[in-house]
Amino acid sequence: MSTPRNVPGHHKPFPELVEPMPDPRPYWIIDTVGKPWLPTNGMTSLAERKLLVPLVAGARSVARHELAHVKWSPKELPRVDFDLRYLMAVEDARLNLGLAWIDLAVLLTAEERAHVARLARQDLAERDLLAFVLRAIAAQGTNAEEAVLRELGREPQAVRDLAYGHVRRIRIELLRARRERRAPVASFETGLALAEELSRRLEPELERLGFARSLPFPLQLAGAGCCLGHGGSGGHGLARGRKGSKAGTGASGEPSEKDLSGELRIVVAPLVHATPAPRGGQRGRGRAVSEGSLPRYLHRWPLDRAIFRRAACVRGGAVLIDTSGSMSLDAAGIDQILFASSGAALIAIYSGQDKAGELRIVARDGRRADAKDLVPFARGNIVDEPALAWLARQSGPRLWISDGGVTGIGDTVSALVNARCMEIVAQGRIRRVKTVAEAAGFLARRGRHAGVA
Amino acid sequence: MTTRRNRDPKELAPVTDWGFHENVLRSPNVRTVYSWGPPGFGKTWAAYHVGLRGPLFALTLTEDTPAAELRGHYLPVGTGMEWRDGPAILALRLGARLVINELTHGSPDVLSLLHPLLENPDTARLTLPTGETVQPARGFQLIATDNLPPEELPPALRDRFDCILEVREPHPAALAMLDERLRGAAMRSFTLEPDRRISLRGWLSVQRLSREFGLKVACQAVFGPARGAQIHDGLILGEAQN
Repeated sequence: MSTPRNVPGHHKPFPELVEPMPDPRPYWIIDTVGKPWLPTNGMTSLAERKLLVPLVAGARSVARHELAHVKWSPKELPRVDFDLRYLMAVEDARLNLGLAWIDLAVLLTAEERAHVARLARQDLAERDLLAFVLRAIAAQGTNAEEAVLRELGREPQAVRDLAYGHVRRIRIELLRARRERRAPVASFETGLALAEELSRRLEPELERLGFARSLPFPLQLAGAGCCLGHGGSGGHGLARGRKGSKAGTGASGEPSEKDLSGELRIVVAPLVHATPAPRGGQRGRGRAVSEGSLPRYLHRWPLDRAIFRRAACVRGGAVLIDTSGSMSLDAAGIDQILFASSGAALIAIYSGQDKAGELRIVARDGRRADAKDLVPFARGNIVDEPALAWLARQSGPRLWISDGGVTGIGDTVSALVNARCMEIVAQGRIRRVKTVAEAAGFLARRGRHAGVA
Repeated sequence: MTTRRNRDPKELAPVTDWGFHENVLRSPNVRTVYSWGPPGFGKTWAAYHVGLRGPLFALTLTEDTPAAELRGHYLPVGTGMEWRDGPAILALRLGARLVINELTHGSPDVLSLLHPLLENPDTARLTLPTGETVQPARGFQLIATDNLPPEELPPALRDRFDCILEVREPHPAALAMLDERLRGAAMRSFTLEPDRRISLRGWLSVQRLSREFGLKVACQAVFGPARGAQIHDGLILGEAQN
């Protein structure tokens, strides 16, 4: 059976349709797949108009929850004199219950539910009852609430009563407030008041039972919200395992930052110049011949009877150019590649800095960018891996003009990043060449060139 | 022509003045127009219907469309050959409107042929292989439509258009065909980046199919399962009370 095709663009949500007031500025939708350094796989910044969600099949619930933030959450959380995570958990419950009310319930897959249950079990094993209660509150309105509360089964009666009591009270209060408002969700103010009350009542009770009064890791590591912890990648607001360590491969086996690639943004430069016609001909056109099935040039009948068209050989291909460091590209180089490919090559340049990079398409369909748009984005690599993944999705032949050095976040060399890049190169049948001239030569000879890869 | 200056980002005022566009298309002094913008916004509809005074000839260019298809060619008839005018020559002779869709897809062959057609009335003329020279009759109009900006055209061709109209929003009459439920969402979707933009055509299809299948299935049928589900979620959540 073949693997289903995943097109990330098809899974992009539409927060613009949801926000209370129309705004012509589109949201920036960022894919969280393969980014274990993020605190959670779903995040929303209403102020910066960013939505981070996994762009894969089966992650629709994450997108739904984030859309609910766009719809019902305030632009910024207010300053509070208690741990903000109480508010985040209650806010998640408020939104999830609202989504369930309008038949858009957050439904986690069996695997995700098992992951959430595992996190809850870990909370209890580490005697972190506060994290457990917040997780159970955040799970309200989803199909994971049962899985979380089931973990309480082996706990003493006092612990069960405490957890059930608070979770039930928050749920009932939110549902009552919703009914009173005659709206899908309780007001944010109600959620705020509930969170404050929860913090006031829960902490002394935890202390009385011998549990810690506060969460064991600082707030800044908790992420921006979405405390449920759905999704298996990385840590999350109430997930465990980071313990304040941001770098280095820990005992959990998590890769360090340098083993990860940066965020890639794909842009298309204005393609303002037409390709020079290769070898005096015209790009991609056929030639008139006297034999064929479909007459296209009837006006030639009295001249030479060559009224049929024979398709021209268009070489095409995709060329990815690493413009970090000493590598560079000028307009003449692009023309050289386009000329060799009958004007049909897709050419992109990429480079990066710190944690992000840009892949810029500079030639496509016989048109190329102006010289001013060939200036590299930055001097580092950082995004070799996602850029090569992009190249692997293009039609062949695929050429990668590079010195072969690849890096991850921080522009540091990593054996893991290198291995992943080499795997993409092998699987995507990507040929590495060192210079523009070599690429042009390869495209012109249509594969008879012996490249260096 | 668009008016995007000094816009309050909070408001979604129209960025395309369709009244202005229609006035331009109706003007007897406007002979050649390049109308461009995203697909599904009514460029072709306007070119076919607005200000049409006589016959209409229309064709869509591909890379393989030869210039002979526009100009005309000889056809074997009986034992001899007979000249047949193409749509461009017919439009010149009859003073008709010639609409050329997807102009930038045209081969250099076709684009070069358009140069004399786009000239001023004093200089516009074309001598056919028959030896006859054809000049545009009164009322001749050439309207080209495309998704790409005029910068994508060869400079010599671009320079020959009397007017360049940018369409960034659908025609109000076309938008009015959408019911209240979808219209608001449609208005918000026109300003999205290309891979999430939803054309009016898509929204109209959803409206048509939702009567038979319901909104959820209609979205999935029109936009595919994954994208349709996201659009459906957006619509339902967008309708929900704040």
